[in-house]
Amino acid sequence: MQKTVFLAAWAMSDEPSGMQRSILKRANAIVSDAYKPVIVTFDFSLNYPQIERRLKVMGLLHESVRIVNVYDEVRSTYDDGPVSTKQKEEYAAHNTKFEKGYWVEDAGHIARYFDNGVYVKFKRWADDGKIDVIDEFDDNRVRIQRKEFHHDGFLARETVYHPANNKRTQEHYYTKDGFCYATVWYNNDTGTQQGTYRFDCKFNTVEHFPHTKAWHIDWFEKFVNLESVRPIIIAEQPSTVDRVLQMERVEADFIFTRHTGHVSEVEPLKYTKDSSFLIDAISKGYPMVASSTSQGEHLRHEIGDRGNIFIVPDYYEALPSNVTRDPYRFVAVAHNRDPKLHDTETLVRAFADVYDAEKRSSLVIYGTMPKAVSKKVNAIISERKLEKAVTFVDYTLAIDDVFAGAAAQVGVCNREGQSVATVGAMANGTPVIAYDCLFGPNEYIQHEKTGFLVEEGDVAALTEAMLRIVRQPEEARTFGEAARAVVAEQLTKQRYEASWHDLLDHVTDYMPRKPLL
Amino acid sequence: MAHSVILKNVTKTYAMYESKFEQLTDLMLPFKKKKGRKFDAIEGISFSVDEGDIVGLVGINGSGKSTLSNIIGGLTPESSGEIIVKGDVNVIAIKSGLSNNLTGKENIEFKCLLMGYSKEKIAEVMPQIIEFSELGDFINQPVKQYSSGMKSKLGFAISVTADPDVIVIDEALSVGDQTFTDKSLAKMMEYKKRGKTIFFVSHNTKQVEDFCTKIAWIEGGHLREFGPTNTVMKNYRAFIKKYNQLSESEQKAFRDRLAASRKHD
Repeated sequence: MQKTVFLAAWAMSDEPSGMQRSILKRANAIVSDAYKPVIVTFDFSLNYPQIERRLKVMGLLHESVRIVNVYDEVRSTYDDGPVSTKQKEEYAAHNTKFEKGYWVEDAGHIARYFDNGVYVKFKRWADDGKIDVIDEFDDNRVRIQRKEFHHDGFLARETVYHPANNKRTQEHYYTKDGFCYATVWYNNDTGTQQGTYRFDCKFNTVEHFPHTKAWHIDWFEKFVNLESVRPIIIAEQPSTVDRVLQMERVEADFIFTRHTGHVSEVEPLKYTKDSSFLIDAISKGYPMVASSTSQGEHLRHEIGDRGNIFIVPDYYEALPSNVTRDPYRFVAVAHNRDPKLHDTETLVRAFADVYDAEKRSSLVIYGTMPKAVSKKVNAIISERKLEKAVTFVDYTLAIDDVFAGAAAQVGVCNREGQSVATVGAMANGTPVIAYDCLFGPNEYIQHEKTGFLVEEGDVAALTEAMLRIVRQPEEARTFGEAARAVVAEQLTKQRYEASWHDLLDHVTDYMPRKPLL
Repeated sequence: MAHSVILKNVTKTYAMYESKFEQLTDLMLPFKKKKGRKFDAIEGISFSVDEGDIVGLVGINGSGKSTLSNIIGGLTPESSGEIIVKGDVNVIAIKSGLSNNLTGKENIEFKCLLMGYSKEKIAEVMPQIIEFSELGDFINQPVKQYSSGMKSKLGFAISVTADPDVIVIDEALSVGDQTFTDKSLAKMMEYKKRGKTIFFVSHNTKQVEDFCTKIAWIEGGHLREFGPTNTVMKNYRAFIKKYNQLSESEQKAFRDRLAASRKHD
């Protein structure tokens, strides 16, 4: 009988991030006669059926893998029939752009509504023409309510805001026949949750939870306990690690993972805030999987080695690409979460010097930066007149084309797990110039053999490495081929699948005893 | 950094008898079904410790801390599993290895001879040990006249002078005065800097938190947690608080359940 493996991710997107791609790869690798992976998400999103479909169409998710979302599941528990007539009528009215009694400013996908000159309402429609969001305002133009609609044609969530500071005070979650299955209270001063209430229309009960997280844990425990064969839960992201760690009333085996670096400062050692639950899980003896050897070794040394830290690097298989390599184009990835994580500012400074020496060179930065970083980077671009040479691209699915068409990938990250960008570039025969940071780059990049390792923040070294790439294209090509060989040899799908199946087969051996108190 | 102590699935099992007769029967009739029940003082403990680590062993009474420290120190053999200790190991316990009938000085000579010191070497280290022990004229008195604190001081002074690679301190710093404890802790910190490994058994959670880099929390003979001091001690303190909130009968029931889980035929 197949054993279910729940991959607890916070969210999944049809434009998956590096971490989400890694989760998808893991789910696909687990699919077998013995294991049935299910991705579980905890964010409030109304289009998981579409996301799942698109990921499967793009070949990023195995046909048999389901994505289960906590809100979709709870809602479906109480959805006995089709959308109620009342809901349909209300939805039709909300979907109407030109409502009677209002002056409407029509701006395509959005519209603003005025009642005799007073701004009262804002509407936004999705690309398919279905109503997405309606905001309502008081006489002072302060938003007091937001309604979010499901594409199946019903109100899914209503948020109430405090008129004093426009911060939320309550959220109500609805089924398609209009039943409110959950309400969340917020302190509008601090933004913290004051309680979550779950309503059960089948048993006419109300249950209180201290916060949404507790409700999520309760739901997940009950959902997992429905399994007839003891399942395995893989906690994939920091926000799910603490949820899984607190699941005390569940009959399941756990595995914890880390996709990114866990250290914020090396001397004195400081861990990232989001790794505290992971440290707790390792100390308690749960199996933990790191994606790079140096990260695993660091955890063993600093946290403690009781044989529960495993190292399974992601595999990477590049898709065939027909693009022509531009020997002057550098590509890099930015990160919008932590301004300290990616040193884009230094990268642009170094590139400016490269551009001064070689006007044919260009730099494409993928992803989004925090506002403060963006401001500084744009100032450098303006000052050094790089407007034509540096471009920003929000997101791309054609990762292999990007890497295969570049002269080199430049990684200016201060801490890594196993960098998807580094490995992806190498798999596409592209040399990588990267900061010699914890953890990962120096495991794959051999200095002056497959790319260049430079000191963090060293503008001159970055410039020199980039100039060497553009000035010595034959050497760059050799580096790229050597990089491709490293990935082909070390990061194979077969090895990855075998490691994961071995861990899943023996996970019970590594599970700590449940404490009696 | 290299592992200095490696424990692989270490178990220590004792036979428990309800009477001398049962024990005698088991001894005399080895092929007959054993009458005694087995008790796992520790079971299936695995972890590795690096050079320079100071590992605190914590847990409520009877959890198996001392059994584990004695196994690490080589004083008690494990029943199964494997323990690898790289280098010399020395155990400092309140009563460890001191002969009550000998004087402090004679004990120093005796222990140094056991460690393979020559007469000249003993003469050389003797004043250092006496000075570190702070026993003054008492060094010439039989150890049976010593308080537990004095015994601990002497044991500690001999052990640190031996300069072992791995030191196991079992409650030895709980009985001395604060000045001596501080001096001993300073010595331990010096050892840590020199990359030596120290195991520290104590019920004094404050001392453990101040001194240790990692904690192994033993519960009912099992390794409940092993990790950085702040993480494990936070959980251990929460456990102690919960445990202390139990009534006496509930505490006993908890201990009984733990004990029951360690007994088998």
